[in-house]
Amino acid sequence: MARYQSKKICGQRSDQLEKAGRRSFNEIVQIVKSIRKETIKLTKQNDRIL
Amino acid sequence: MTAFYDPSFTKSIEHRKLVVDTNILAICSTDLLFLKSFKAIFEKNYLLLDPIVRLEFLKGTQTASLFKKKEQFLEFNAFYNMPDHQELFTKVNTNALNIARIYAHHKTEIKLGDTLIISRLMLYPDYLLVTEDKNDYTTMLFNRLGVISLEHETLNHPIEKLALQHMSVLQFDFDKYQSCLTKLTHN
Repeated sequence: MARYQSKKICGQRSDQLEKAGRRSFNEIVQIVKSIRKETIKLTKQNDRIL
Repeated sequence: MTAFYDPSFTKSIEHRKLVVDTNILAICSTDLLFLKSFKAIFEKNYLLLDPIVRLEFLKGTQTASLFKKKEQFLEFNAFYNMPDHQELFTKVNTNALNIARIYAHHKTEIKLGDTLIISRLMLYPDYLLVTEDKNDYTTMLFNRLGVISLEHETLNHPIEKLALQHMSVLQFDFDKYQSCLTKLTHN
């Protein structure tokens, strides 16, 4: 069984977590609204095709 | 939007690291109220993104503009990327082969993505997985620590505007895994 041992790889601890990005919740609010709008639009288009 | 859960459960897993499965991430990306509630429920946890979850989330995106927005969503500062490099990948591969053999031995199909997510999760025994409760990750190898039900606004359902989303919080059980593995070698 391959279990994990924390150690330094390329100068960084291999279990070190880094934030996925710097976007704040306020920025994400706009992005989610936009994804929702576009996803609904695409779903309707796809339904029409089917 | 209503959440149904036991607050003592979420308190019991405070500060634990939670890998967010693709199905939950997809709802978070399209439903603001769900995202707010999800973030509030797990406000004292680290929300982790597995590289395969990121891939599953982005693949199949139909338009360039939607792809860009989904990439931007993944840059939310509440998320943490799980480590990903060659040395880990070798270990993930070894685990994946064992997981695939165990499922095959039980005559059960498992998707490649789920196999790889489990295999990476195995490298971090204290990490938990939060996923939609649809038997993707069964109690053959996991322990279900708790269930949280949260309403979410559906995208295109004709009669159900607020559907109930059940989320399981799971922990990989190495004793179960070892027992399954032992059975493999004796057959």
